[in-house]
Amino acid sequence: MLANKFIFLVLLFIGFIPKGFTGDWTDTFRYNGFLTQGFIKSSDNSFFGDSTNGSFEFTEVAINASVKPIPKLLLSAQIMMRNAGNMYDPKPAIDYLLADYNLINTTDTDISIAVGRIKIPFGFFNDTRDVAFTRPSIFLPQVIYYDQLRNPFLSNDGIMFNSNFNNDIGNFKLQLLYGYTLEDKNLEVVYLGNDWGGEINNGNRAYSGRLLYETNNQNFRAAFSILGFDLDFDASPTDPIGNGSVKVLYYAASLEYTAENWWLTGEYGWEPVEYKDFDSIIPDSKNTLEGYYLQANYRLIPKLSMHLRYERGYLNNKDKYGTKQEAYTGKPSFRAYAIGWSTGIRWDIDDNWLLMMDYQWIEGTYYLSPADNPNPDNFIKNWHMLNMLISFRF
Amino acid sequence: MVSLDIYAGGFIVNSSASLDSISKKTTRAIYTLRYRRWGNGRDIIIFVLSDSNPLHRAFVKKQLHLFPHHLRKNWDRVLFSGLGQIPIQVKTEQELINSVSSTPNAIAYLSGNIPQNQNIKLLKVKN
Repeated sequence: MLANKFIFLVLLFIGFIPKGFTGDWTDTFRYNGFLTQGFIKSSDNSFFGDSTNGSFEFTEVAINASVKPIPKLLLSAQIMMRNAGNMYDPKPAIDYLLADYNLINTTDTDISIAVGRIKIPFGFFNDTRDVAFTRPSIFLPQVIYYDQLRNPFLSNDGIMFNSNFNNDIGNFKLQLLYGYTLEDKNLEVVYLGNDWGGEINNGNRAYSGRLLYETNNQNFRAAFSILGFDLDFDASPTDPIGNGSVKVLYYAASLEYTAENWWLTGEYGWEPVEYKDFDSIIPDSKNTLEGYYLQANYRLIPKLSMHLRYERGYLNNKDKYGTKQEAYTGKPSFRAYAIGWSTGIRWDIDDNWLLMMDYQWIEGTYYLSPADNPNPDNFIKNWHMLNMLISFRF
Repeated sequence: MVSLDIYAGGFIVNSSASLDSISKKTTRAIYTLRYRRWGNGRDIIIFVLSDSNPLHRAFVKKQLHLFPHHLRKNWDRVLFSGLGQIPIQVKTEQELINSVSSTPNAIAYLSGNIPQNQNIKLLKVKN
């Protein structure tokens, strides 16, 4: 609904641009896109489809286009089709659709305002998380960038303040976004533990922001990000839980150091989730998810690089290894965390083609999707997987 | 190893651009897509060669003091978040010259010899 309104507004705007006013603005039309196909073979547990038998249910296809009716105004949109096992259906969706108006642009200062559907600036990778070429491995580290629940972290329909300040110390980039979350069928299962009879309302208010600093030679980058949204649940009469709300906050700190042939990246995220008014089955409570990873990349030759990553994540940072969870609920403790190693090789064949192969060893299953793993009794504590990916961009 | 000598500091703009020199700082702001409009208010149109081209690599290191993969990451972040347009890639240095010559407000780097062409201006690079 909101997306339709934005398309309408953007078309209306284009309609109001006087003919001949900009001369050759049609020359500014650009389009790009990508096609990505992955393959996942896991020893146990399902990740992006039935991966124990080998899954091809990881596909990302997108096309984007932009045009500048006048130099200060950019209109852009990306349509994306993504298959992600049973987590998300492969149907085309608007990834972003926006109008960006530039207010100030000098060599030191750049300020603009964007409205529309906008990618959420979070961490180093969130705003380009579905573009294989920009990822440091086939899958982003799941302890920070969840794939089991992605829409509330993906884009918002709203307004963004975009600014960049440059001086001798470096580059400071501040982005602030306010808007509404996108629909997500996995919200209830992930936050409320079940697909209840009632519904989580659509169009929940969300805000996010990222402050990024980088040295002028870009060897060192640091970012701090915040993302918050509230989910209101309307219970149906048959639900054992009442009308309640979930308040989600997510913070991330990101650091990167780059030399010519190697680079180190680390990100740390923590996410307090507060439950209110659901009655006895989900008592008023607050628990904090926490995760971090540290990754080293080494470039063997310009087109070939490899990575090694260590990552840890916890469902509840006051019960990191799930022992309390196991004692109270009987749920195996390993379902409360994940500790993993990842290594892989990346071959940038040419400007258009990319090939990646990763291997991951994981203890724990907390980030695995219930949609792909409907029977939690089948979870296996120690598992590993081999992933392959081919991507083409144009 | 890429020899940096292949890039001798040559910069060309379409003669419509109202400038005769450019600072290193400004070139970095242009190529990292932070500075996007000339003083005349028109968009700066950037033409480049492939990331793996020796001239491109030498230019990025010597003039911008960045690594080519830095620059590509900058461009990908802008392009795939929908917040900007990225440079136009052509195949040869001759195409760079032809494109700058025929496109108002265009800019490109060049290895050395500046062709006699009234639509092209050579820029002095200041520190």
